[in-house]
Amino acid sequence: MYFIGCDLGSTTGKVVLLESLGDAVDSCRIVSWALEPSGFSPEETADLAINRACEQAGISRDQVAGFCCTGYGREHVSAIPYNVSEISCHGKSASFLLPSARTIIDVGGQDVKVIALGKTGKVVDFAMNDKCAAGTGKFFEAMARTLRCTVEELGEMSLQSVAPVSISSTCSVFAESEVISHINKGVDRCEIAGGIHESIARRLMAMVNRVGLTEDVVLTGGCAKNKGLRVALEKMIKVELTEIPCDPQINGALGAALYARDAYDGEK
Amino acid sequence: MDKAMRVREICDSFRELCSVPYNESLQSYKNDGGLIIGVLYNQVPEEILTAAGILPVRIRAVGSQGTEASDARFTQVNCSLVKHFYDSAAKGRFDFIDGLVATNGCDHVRKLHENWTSVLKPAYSHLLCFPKRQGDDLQVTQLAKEIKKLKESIEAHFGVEITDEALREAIKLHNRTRELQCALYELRKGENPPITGAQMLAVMMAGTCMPREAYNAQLEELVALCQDVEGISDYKVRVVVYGGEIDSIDFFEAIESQGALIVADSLGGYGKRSADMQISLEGDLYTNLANAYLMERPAEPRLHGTRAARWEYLEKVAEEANADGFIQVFIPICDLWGYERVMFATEVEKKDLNCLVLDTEYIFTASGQTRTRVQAFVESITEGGR
Amino acid sequence: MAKAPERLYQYAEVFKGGMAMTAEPAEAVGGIPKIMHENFRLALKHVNRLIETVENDEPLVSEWYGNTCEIYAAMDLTHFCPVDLIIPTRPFFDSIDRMHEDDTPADSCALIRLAVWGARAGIIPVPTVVTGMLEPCDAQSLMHEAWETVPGWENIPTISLDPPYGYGDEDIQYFADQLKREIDFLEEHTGHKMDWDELRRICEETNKINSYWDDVNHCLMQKPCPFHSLQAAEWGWTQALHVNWPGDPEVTEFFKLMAETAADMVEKGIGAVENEQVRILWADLNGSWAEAELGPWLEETYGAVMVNSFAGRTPYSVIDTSTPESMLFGLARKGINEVPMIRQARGTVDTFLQDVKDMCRDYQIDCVFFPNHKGHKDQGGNIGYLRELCREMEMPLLTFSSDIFDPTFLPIDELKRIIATFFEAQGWKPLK
Repeated sequence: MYFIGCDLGSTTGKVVLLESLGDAVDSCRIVSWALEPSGFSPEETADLAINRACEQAGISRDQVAGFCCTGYGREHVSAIPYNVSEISCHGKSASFLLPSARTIIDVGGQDVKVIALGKTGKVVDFAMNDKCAAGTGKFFEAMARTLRCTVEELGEMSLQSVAPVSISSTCSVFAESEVISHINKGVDRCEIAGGIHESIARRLMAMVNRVGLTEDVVLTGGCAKNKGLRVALEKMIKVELTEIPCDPQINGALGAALYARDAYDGEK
Repeated sequence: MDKAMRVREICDSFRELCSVPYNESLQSYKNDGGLIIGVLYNQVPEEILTAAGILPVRIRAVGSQGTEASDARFTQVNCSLVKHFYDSAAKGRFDFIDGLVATNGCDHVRKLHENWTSVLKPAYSHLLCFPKRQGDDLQVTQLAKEIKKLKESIEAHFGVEITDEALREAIKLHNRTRELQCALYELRKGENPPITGAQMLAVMMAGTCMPREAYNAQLEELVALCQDVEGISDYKVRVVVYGGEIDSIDFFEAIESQGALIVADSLGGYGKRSADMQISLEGDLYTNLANAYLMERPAEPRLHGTRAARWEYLEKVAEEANADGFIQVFIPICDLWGYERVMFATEVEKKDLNCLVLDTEYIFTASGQTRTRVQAFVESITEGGR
Repeated sequence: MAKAPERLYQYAEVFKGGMAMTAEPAEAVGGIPKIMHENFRLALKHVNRLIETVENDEPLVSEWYGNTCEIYAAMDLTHFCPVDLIIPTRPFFDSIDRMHEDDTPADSCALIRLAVWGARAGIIPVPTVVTGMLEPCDAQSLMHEAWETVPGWENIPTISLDPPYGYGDEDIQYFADQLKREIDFLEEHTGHKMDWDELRRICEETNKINSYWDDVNHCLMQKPCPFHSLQAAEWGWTQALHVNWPGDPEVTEFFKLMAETAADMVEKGIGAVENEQVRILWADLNGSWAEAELGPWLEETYGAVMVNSFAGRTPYSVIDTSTPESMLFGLARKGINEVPMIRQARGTVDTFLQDVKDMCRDYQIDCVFFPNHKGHKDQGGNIGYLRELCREMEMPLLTFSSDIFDPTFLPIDELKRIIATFFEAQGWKPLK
C-alpha cells in the first residue's frame, strides 16, 4: 500500500512515496522521492513532484492510498485536505528513521526549527526563528551572492577556515554589510565563509538552548547538506550530529507520508 | 430569532465597533455633544472620567497602515504598538478625542504620551503616575494622591465637578460591566463554550469604545443568551492565552483556526484581568480605586513583586477552564513581556505544562507562521492533531 | 569556610594584572596611569571584600544602580551590584557569547541580560538580601523577578524601591520614605543596625567626593581635554556608584587624585590627545566598549575626544547631614534626581534635553553622539526632541543604534565607518 507525503516549502517542494507492507511501522520503506522548485502555486508544485515520484516508482497516482501535506503550502492543495505541520512531520520522520533522535535541527529555505522529541518520538517542545531570514537557506544564498560563489562553495570554503572572522549582526542585511567590509579589507574568503557559518551556528545554538539539547541530535532540511554548517554546528554545540539514513531534505515529506499512513489506519 | 444567531449578531456588532478607531457609536455620541477622552492603558481609573460625564475610549490603532510619522519620534528600539498609535494620532485618526490620559505603565507608552502631548498637542492631556510595584500603604497612598490629581485636572480643564456621589455611580456602572464580563467568562469554562476567544476579545474591546450604559445593556442580553445556546464543540484543544495589550481579533482567529479554542485568558488590556475586580463603595472612594487598581486586580509584569501571584492566577484560570495548554503572546521589543516569557519558561519546565510562545507585531500580518506554530502545538498535545 | 564563585577570584587576578600594568611609568605621563592604578586597586579591594564576605558567610546585599549605597555602608553591610564586575572585565571572559546562548530577550539591554545570565550561570555570589530599583527601565524591574526563578535565588528577601515620576520635593519624600522602609528591612533580614553617626560621616565623604568630581569636570570643560575619551566619566562612575564603599577615605583620595591630576594638566596646557580637533558629547552612559575600543581610534584618526557622557554628569547637591531625615532626603534626591541615567531616563524628557544643552555649552562640544542604546527604550522616544534641540543649537548630531553593553550588536568597524561618513560630511578630515 502506497502513501505520499508532500512538503511544500518556500523554495522547494519535496515528495516522498512510501510503501507500507504491513501493520508495523518498520514495514514501511521509501520507494521514491522527488524535489521540485516551488512555483507560484503550491498545488502545481505538489502535482509535478507527485507525478515524478509516482513515475519513478512506476505506479499511478490512483494506487496511492493516502496523502498528507506539510510545509508553507500545506493548506493550499485542494486535492489533499489532510495536512500536518512541518514540526510534527520532522519529528515523526526523524523518530522513524532514528528512534534514538531527541533533538532535530531543521534548517530550511526560510525557516529554522529546533524540535525536542520525547522517548516515544512525541514533539515535546520546539522553537522557530522569528520573522527574519538570518540563519536560513535564504541567508546562505545572500551571503554566497556577496562572496560571488555558490552555496556549496561557501560551505567548502568555510571548512578551510583557520581564524574565522567575527560576523556579529543577526540581521541578514547588516551581516551582508559586515561581509562586504571584510571583503574590502582584503580578508581571505575562507575566513569570511568560516565566520558566516560560525555566526549561523551561534544563532542555532541560542535556539537549541531554548528547547534544551539532548542526544541524539540530527540536522535536517536542505541546508543540512552543507558540510560547513554541520562542522560549525558540531563545534558550537559540542555534540556530534547523527546522520539520518536518507536525504535530510526529504525528512519533512517522509513525516507527512507517515502521517498519511496513520490517518489511513485510523480511518479503517 | 434563533438564540445562537442573535449571539453571533451581537458579537459581530461588537466586532464592527472595534474595526475602526472612530466608530458609528462614537460618532453618534459626539454628534449629541458628548466629550471623549482617549485612554492609554488599562491602568487609568476610567471611573473618574465617567463621573465627570466624559466617555473614556481606549486608544487602539486598528487598521493602521504604517509608521512613517512615528519614525521621526521613535527609533528601532521602540515597539510597534507605540509606533502605530503615534502614527495614527499624527494622521488624525484620533482627532475625535477631546483629551488624552495615560499612565507611565511602560517605557514606550510614557514616551508615546509625551510625544503625543508636545508634538500633536491634544486639547487636554494628563499623565497619571502609577507605582511600579504592588506593595504597602506607601504605594496605595501615592496612587490615591495621583488619582485625585487626575480628578482635579479634569475638573479644572473641563469645568466640571466630580462629586463623590457621581463617582459612586460611575464605580457602580463599571462594576456592573466587570460583573457581566466575568459572567461571560464563567460560561466559557464549560465543555461547549458559547463563544470563541476571538468573539470574546471583540466583546471586551467593545466595552472600551462605546457608551457604557448601552454596552452593559447589550452585554446583559448576551450573557442571558449564552446561558443556553448549544456552544462550540468542533475544537481539538482548549487553551488559555496569556499576555498584555493584545487587541487583534485576526490574531485570535488564526490561533483558533487550528483547532485551539481559547476558553480563557489572562490578558490585561482587554481580557479577564481587566474585569476581575470589584471596587468597594464603602469609605474613601479614591483609596478604594487605588487599592483596586494596584492591589486587587490580578497583576501583570509592569507591577513588580507580583510574579508568583501572576502565575498562580494564570494556572487557576486554566484549571477552572479545564484548559490543555497555554499560549503566551507578546509584542517584540517589550522588556516586560519578553522577560515574562523567559521566566514563565522555568515554570513550564518545572510543571511540565503545555505552552506555546507566539510573538506578533501590533498589526498582525504573520498569519502563516502563527498557524504553523499553533498547528504544531495542537499536534504535540493531541498526538498528530487528530 | 564557604567558597565564593570562581569568577570572583578571577576578577581579583584581572585587577591585579591591571595594577601591575600601570605600576611603572606613573610620573612620566601626567599621572593618568596612577589614576588607572588606583582604579584597579580599589576595584580589587571591592572584590576582596566580596570574597571575604562570602567566605565568612556574612550578610551580602545585592544593590542596583541608583540605590544609595551610603545606607549599606553605614550599616556595615557588604554590597555589590551583580553586573558591575561582569561589565568592566568583559574583555577577559566569554560572558557576552555565553549570554547570547541564553534565552533572555535578544531585543533587551545586554546589561540586564548579563545580570540574569550571570545568576543562572553561577558566576554571581548569591546575596542574603536583594534591594532593587524599579527605574529607569522596565527590564530592570523584571530582572529582579527573573532572579527569583534561578535555582538558589528563589527565596531571597527582596525590597524594591519605586521611584516616582516627578522631580519635586514631594516626589523625593516619597522615595525617602521608602529608604526608611529599606533600612527596617535590612535590619530585619541581616541583623545589622543603622548607625546614624556613621551615615553622617559617610554622607560628608560623599559630599567631598562630589565636590572633587565637580572639579574634575571643570577641567574637562577646558581645551585641550586633560583626559582621554570617556576616561573621567568611567572612573568617576565606577568609583562613585559601583565598586565603591561610600565613606572610604581612599575613594575620596581617588577623586582628589583625579581632580589634582586634571588641574595640573590644564594648568600646563597638556591635553591627553596631542592634537585635539573635535570634542564629542556621548549622550548616554558610556558604551562599555567605547572608551577602549572606539576612543583611541577617534583620537588617533581625527584628534577627536569624547569629552564626557551622562555617566560623568555630576549636578550633585550637598547632602544636609543635620538630621537622619535630612540625610535620607538628600540621599533620595541623589538616588532619583541626580545619578546618571536615572536622572535622564526617569520622568519627562526635560532633564535629558537640559543636560545635553548644558553639556554642549559647558564642555565646548563640537558634536553629539547619541548611541540609541537598545536598552533605553525611553530614550528612543527622545529622538525627535534631541534632533530639534541639536538643530536649534546648530550642533551636529550622529545617531546610531547600539547596545552600550554589548560590542557585538553594532560591530566597532561598522560604527567607525558610520562615524567616518559623519565626520566627512562635517568637513572633519583624518589627521594624516
